[in-house]
Amino acid sequence: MSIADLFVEKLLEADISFAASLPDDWLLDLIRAVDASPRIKHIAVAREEEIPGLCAGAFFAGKNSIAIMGMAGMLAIPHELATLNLMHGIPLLIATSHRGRLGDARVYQVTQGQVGVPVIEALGIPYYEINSPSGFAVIPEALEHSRLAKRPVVLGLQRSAIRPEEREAAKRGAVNART
Amino acid sequence: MLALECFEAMATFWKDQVVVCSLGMSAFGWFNITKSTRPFYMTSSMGLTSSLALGLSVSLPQATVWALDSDGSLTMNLSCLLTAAGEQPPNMTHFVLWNKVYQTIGGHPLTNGGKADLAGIARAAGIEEAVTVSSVADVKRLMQLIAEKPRYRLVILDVEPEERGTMLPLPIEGPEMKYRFARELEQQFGIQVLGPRGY
Repeated sequence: MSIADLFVEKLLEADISFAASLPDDWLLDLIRAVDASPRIKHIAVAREEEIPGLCAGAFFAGKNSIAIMGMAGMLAIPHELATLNLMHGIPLLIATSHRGRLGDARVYQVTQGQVGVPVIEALGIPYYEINSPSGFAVIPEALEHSRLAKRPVVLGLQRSAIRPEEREAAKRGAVNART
Repeated sequence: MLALECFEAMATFWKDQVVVCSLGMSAFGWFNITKSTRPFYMTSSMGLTSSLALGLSVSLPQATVWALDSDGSLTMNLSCLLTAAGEQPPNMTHFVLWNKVYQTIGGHPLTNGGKADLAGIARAAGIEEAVTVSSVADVKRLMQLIAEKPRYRLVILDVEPEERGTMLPLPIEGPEMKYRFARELEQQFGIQVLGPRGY
């Protein structure tokens, strides 16, 4: 089973039937697999700020949802998280790519990596690192925690969880670290 | 056309539609006309009325959803038009109160002086039916059409800017808004929004 298929399997295990996303390069495979699932209604947005609204709408329809975005998106949505989710106590499970750490050779991701988690924590939003594909098993519990804590929960997808082959290839020198 | 005249005409067509109001004049105006606590009234989250209503519409196709948006909120989240154009759920109408000012804070002009053609922007984004109405008579005709021929529409309600008058404040906010709206939807559609333990 591919990593993306495993991700979708855990979403379905959590009875997640709605997703809204904006990708970065790390998340493409996951989002394509979500989009291909006949059991998940997926909406691709043009700007991350839409996602808390869309998922809140799904919540009020009785659907469990997931938001998928890069760490840059997490930095775009604190206003929406504060004034919709935190103000009303509306749950939201977010999967974000934790960029800008050791081995992430994208220069434009460095700042997001440095400030992303402190911003999430400043909002009082629980943040959990997912370090391997097997870590997707936490998705049902994270969703439940978001509901009972009445606030968003963020899963930080590390490269080792969603791009392990890239990491191994980099170790072997098969990937140009500047690309 | 004044906003309250417009809402008064729309309210005569309001039966079981699920209403989501953006903050400011849309929320205050609709509450002052209807005195109803059934809708979800945004008291913040500027720009998210359209997105919340879209997520609700595609997830609950048995509901008829009215988003009562405002020009300031829509222009803060214009990308929602692209997203809505990709979905165009037939059970949703996106109304936009277009008074060309940020009325609640004292009438500061909308960016570009409100000269933009919002319906034109929506059509260019791919929304098939986007119209502007400027009189109460046209609003009534359009509401009749919406009732008879449901499809996804964006409706720009061209109203005059006004001084902020004395209006009733919204009597609920925050967590109560969530629980009350969730319970309303549970009762109306026989769905479960909140779990067996109430969260």
